[in-house]
Amino acid sequence: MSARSDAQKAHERSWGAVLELDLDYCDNTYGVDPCTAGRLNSGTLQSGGTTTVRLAAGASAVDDVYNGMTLRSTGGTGSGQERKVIDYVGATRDATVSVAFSPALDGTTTYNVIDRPNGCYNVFEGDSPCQDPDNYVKGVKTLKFCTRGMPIPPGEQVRPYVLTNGISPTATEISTAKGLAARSQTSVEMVDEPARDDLDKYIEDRVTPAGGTYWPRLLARNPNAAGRPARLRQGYVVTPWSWDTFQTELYIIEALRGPSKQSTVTAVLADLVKLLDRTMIPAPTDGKLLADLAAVSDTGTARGGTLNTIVLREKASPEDDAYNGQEASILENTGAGQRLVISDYEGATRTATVAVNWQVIPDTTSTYEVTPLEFEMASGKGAQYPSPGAEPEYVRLGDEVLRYGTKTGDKLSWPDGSFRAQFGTARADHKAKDIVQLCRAWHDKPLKTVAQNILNEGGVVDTYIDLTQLAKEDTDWLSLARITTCIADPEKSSELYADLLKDVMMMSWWHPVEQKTKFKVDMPELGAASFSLTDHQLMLRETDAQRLDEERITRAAVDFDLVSATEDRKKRQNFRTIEMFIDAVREGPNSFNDVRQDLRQSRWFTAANEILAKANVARKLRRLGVAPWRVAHQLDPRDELVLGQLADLTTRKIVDAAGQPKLVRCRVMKLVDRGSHFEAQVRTTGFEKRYGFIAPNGQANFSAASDAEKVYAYISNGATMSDGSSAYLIS
Amino acid sequence: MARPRFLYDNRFADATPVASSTAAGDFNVANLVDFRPYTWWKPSAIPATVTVDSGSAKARDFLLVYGEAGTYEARGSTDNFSASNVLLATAVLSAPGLKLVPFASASHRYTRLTIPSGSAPAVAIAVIGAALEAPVYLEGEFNPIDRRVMGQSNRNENGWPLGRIVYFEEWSARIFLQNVAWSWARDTLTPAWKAHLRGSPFGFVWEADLYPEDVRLVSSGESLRIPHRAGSLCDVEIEIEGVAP
Repeated sequence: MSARSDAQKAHERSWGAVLELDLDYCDNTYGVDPCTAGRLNSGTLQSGGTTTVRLAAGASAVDDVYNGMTLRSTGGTGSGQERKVIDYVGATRDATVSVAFSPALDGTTTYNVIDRPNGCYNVFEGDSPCQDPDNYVKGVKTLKFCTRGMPIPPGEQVRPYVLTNGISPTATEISTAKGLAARSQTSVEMVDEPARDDLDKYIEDRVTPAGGTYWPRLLARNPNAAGRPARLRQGYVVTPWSWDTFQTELYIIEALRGPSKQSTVTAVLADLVKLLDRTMIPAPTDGKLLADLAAVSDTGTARGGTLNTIVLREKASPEDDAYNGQEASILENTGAGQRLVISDYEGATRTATVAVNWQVIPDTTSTYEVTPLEFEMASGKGAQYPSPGAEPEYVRLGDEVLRYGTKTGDKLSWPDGSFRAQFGTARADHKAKDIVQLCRAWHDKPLKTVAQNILNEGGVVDTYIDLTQLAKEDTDWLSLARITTCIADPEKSSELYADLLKDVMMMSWWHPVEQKTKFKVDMPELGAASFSLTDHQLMLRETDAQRLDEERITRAAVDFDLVSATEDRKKRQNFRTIEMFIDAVREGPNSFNDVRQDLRQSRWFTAANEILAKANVARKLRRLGVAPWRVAHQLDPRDELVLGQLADLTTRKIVDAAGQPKLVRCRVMKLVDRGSHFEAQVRTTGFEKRYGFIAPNGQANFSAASDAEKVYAYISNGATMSDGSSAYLIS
Repeated sequence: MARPRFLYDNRFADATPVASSTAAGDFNVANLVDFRPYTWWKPSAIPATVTVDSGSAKARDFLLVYGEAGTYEARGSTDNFSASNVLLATAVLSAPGLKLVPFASASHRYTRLTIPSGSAPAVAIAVIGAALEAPVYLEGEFNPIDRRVMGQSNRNENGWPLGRIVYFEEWSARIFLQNVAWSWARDTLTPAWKAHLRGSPFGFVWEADLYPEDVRLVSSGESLRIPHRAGSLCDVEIEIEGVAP
């Protein structure tokens, strides 16, 4: 039991919600190092004192010009004190302050006169932006708002601006079909009011504090609020106050909208997976070739060779050094298979000198080709292309994918000609100004790595990824999903991620309470459901059960092994192979008498993934051969579910042929905390056939096994087991 | 017996109050004067004082505090607490909440809130001022402890109760003052309405002598109705609402 569940178990609970916005707020104090803004005069005092000090001779000669300004001692005797100047005599440079310095300042004291009345608002952007952007120190100011009427925890600055019905969540909805769950969006509507400008650090120094009301002022200073973290804390108010009954959901600020006609402002919150909608993989790049890049600079039959030279054909370039830095490779006959870099080329004799000696000297039978090993882009563009580390890096030029081994400034180079024409593409000529697009490739990587990479590169850092669960799903179900592929065009990260998930039948969603991106492969479940739901828990007249016949299929197929990374993957002819399963009985006239197809084209699977592709289409057919159920319902807070968890549901709205409520195993696909109740949506997880798992050593025989043990596979010599239940499926 | 009082006048609003110390963070002493129970001042050391110079002697007859548990003293002085230091009232809060302590009217130039001992409490509202007392008692329909639960009850598919959620308990009332002098309504109440009651929260107590614990922090509705009666009399109607304690 927890404080939260204790509060939920009570018949009457007092609910409240607190929205926390983490907005940027400069950690500096205006005019104090490192901030250099607003310093009207600086120097060493001519003479000190406690209430009147004499500024440096270079200070203003105008009477009262520093009145209201802040005099800060910055070094020497009495350093680190601030006082407000109340009188200034220009002729003598004497400044009198409001409260005596203690300790007194003297002639060694250095000082600044700071214009605090016109100080900034400690923000970088907005209508009063930072006046010393080079020294801006980004910090965080957490602003808290609670539902109106909620008791405020003593000592906490929580403004009761959230309207009682002002929280409008569009919850995450886990999807087996889409892979990536619908991103949630929660709107929190808040009232406005005239309020003291607590966010102004220098309010006491200003001649006139900022006017207006709370929200317009905040919006004017924080136009860059989008993307900053926000937390929605919902829970139950208990005495004495405790935050332990509250559950914290983490989001990012999508927008602060308003003020509306009613002067309300709405904070729109999105889950972190929304970041994937804003990024692209690979990142779009705008490097262009400075000069033509040939597929082959020259090719022909050699006219001779020495230990470190090769004489090219007569039609080779007559220009000296034309092939310097390029590769000479022997294609056929004497010396075939050798690749060496040309260090010098003499145009008149067509003689190329190679950097190291040939192992077998080419002769007049040797056919060769000379190919470039580098290209250059415009100045500064190289920064967009990562230097290859442990993993290879690729770029796309036209329809060719090319691997580069080294980046030097704006120049990309590769050690030999085999780096051209990668991932099924063909070597080609490229013209100056052709786009050099960075690619994203994986070579024989486990699916968990690819998924993690996409999330990371899409903006979701590891802190917000349930790596443990991802690894478990990978181990349990995706050991055959070793991924080799190249993404040669920028795509929205969320679409790329969803495409991957769909191919491996994995669901992924943002769990706002756990504050993690979660994963689950849509496969038969091992183990029991953690929650039991009956009509005793379901709220009156709120249960809506739907059989999703539109999702039923009779055949499943996947095209895979894309011929080239740059081919159109929407065309079937660009895939080398297919796996397909057909349920002919269901298609027959005595059964459903229709054909429903599920055909995917996978760029993630190659020939190496054939077994997985076959297993997946078989499972998909078993999963959707019979339409699943979706049950929307509402629950009292005492029966709080967890998004993504399994629940065994028994309701009179889903019955067997005898009219008795039928227990169905479901997954919680959607969950919304409405304060007064939870809105939930579950979906059945059943498979048409009985799947079993390999049992551990010492497992009891079927006749003696418990129901829990029967999740493991037993071999039957008939269509049914000894207790009459369905035999296990081996697929 | 006491007639209804509107508690909005505050010596701490006469000038900038000065605190003996303030905890780091958003605990500015200026938060004491805004009548908002969610903006706080907190001293960094005890004993702690908040002092204000009103510029001239001004009357006060109540202390209203919203804060954490602690002892709060209202004090007055004629010489900025050099030799003159008069204890006017003491409010003891045993739990976080709102506390009213009326006292005999006194007049001083300097006003001080003192927290003499204990751990440093967070204080949201401190008011030392002169109450605006209505010239008549409230009519019978007024009920200081009426309340309305804003919430929802849940039942299951079989009809059994599951539980109840309470958002908050609202307290609202209609202040109806019958047969008050027209001059009071025009010259005293209406200026107070314009200056404070209309746009800012305030304290209201229906019977300060007998039931000071019935003080409420309220805001008024949109209208002030003063239907005139024959002669120099009128009625006054004000809708007020707040959260029931």
